[in-house]
Amino acid sequence: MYQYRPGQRSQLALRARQFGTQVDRFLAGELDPAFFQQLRLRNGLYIERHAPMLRVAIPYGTLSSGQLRKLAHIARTYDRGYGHFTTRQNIQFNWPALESVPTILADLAEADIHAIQTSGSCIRNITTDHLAGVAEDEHEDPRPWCELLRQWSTLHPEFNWLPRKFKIAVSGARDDRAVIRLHDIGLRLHHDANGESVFEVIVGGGMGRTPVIGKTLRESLPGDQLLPYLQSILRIYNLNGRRDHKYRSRIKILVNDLGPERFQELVEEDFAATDLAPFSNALAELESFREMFAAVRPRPLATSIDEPIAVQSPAWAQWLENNTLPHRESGFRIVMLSLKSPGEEPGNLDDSGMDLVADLAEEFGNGEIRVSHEQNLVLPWVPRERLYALWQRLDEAGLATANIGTAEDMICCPGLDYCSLANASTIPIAAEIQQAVADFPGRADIGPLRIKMSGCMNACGHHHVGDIGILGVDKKGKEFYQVTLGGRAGNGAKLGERLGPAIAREDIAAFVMRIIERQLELRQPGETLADTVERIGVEPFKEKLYADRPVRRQAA
Amino acid sequence: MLIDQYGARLPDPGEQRLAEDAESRPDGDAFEGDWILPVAAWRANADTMRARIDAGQLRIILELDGADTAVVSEFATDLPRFKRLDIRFPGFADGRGYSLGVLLRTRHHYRGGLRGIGVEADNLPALRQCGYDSFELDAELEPALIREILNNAGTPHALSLGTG
Ligand code: SF4
Repeated sequence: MYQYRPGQRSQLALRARQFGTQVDRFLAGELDPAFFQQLRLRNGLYIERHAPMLRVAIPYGTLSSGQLRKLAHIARTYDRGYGHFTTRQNIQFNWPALESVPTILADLAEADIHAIQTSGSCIRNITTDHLAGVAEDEHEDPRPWCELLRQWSTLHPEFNWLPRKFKIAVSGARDDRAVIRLHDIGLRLHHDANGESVFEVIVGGGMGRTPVIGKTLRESLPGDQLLPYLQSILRIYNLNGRRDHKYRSRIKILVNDLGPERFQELVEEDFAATDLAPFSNALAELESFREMFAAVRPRPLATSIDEPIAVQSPAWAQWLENNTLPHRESGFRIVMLSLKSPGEEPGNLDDSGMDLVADLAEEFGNGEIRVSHEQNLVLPWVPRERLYALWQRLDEAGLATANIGTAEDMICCPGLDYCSLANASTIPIAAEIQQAVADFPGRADIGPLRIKMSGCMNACGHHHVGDIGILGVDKKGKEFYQVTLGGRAGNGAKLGERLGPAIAREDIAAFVMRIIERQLELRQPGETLADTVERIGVEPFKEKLYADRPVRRQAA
Repeated sequence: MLIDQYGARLPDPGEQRLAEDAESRPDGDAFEGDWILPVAAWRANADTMRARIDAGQLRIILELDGADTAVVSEFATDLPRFKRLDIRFPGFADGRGYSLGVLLRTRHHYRGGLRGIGVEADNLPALRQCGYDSFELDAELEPALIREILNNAGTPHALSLGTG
């Protein structure tokens, strides 16, 4: 993992103090409220439906056990004992008091954690594949590059007041698990014919109210040009992006308005004029980052190696099947911890759960925890021979829910219960759907299914790219849900197609179950729902679903 | 209030400002010394003014709208003639002036004064890193507070990657 240098540590402490002064000035009426709002957003602090909400960055989804314990401490001390993991590898605390936030930031700084630029019109937390460094299909661990990007983008003097928020995601594997085609900039790290690190640079993707799949500007940009090239993209956006309309100001709109060719021309022009010399020390830094990330391995195994693990119980067998993944190195498995247990709010974990996971990561793994954009946790280095013992411990603690990748493993934003932008609830709907799936006689046949739900157009729940996407809409003060089918997040990223009129709250869970039933009728062996939709379109779903039983449709 | 890049208050420099609707322009012999001009006035009389600047009779400070990002290339060849460029920020959330500053300093190698007008004190550290060397703040602040802001600002994470 990345090790902070002393100078960087004091920067974080300084930043917490600086924010403390700003809060004092604001409370004393000495700071313009509109300006203070922007300052607090750049420190992760929102004012939400019930109280402030603090969003803390988990850069590229990697935490040490010590850091997770610190998050548990924050949840316990300043919040109501839990945190919410988001789809962008952040954690949110929902109840901190404004006055205590500078202290929280100072506490976090002790563990090298910060909330800088987790909100506001600036470059946000850099996200990546939650299996980085351990995936079988990986070209190269993207995290040293992510760290480079984090340091470059944090407090970047030129890009702190962009037209709108700016999200960067990186993947270094064959399978894209970081949704890179739906980010402002997506980077695909791969190797050229000489084995050098190069990047496919994808720009202008995004979800939100105008979902767009990003356009590729460069297929294989040499790694040593990454930062200056991104600087050019950001600069062209900063200078030319619209600032007159909130919903027209993301980079995807600029790319569309100019046309991708013209946009690229401007970027290349700026890039060609850029002096690369100031960036030359970055590559030297990268080498030291690589060493830091490579150093984190669990202690050597007592025994080897790929022995089949004897099955002791069906629950264990199911967990092994659903919640563990093959590892780059034989002798290890990747373990997924589901934060989608029935009755729990998706993505939430309480302080004692965080402490336990931190302990288990040290006892059974390498003291490292990952956070996935699907709002689950990952223990990346578990020796196969210790899996059963780990499962027993997780099972005792209620953390062995074996539903990773299934219909119950929904992505779900906080929705109306917490978010002031929401049109409709999401958490209670997720619970209803989970229950309905659990009660469904054909549950075991459903197979992998991505259900993704957002409480409004902002699409924090990635609904556009779910097999089943659910979007909360407000119809004359009533909660309705717009359903899309056939979206894909990774390779061959695709936006889901709208199925028909929005469905009333009372009917949405049953409606989703009928989609699942219909899929079981229509699919060919091995197909996911997105595959089926790709083959035959949404019509065969639509006809049946809207014809079958009367549903309460929205008023026109 | 008017301050330099270290937060020290600047004295009134005795510069004269040409009103937008002024009938006479500083291209006549009556005009001497330091003049702040809107872009339109420069455009209208650039040739005569160039000659008078080069003859040492006139110093021009050009006032630009921080949202008008295309002007940099328009004035590229004249940049060494200007005593200072005053960039008027349309609002604290409009970040174009930051890129403008970087382009002026690193692409056009502009060495004259660069002033941010209508900026917030908390943004001074970043503006300074983008090449600005004096500021006109809307608010009147205690010098101690300005010093604290300038001293306590975080810098990019100890990686001196520059903004070239
Ligand atoms: S999608 Fe909308 S409701 Fe959900 S968290 Fe984002 S902004 Fe809030």
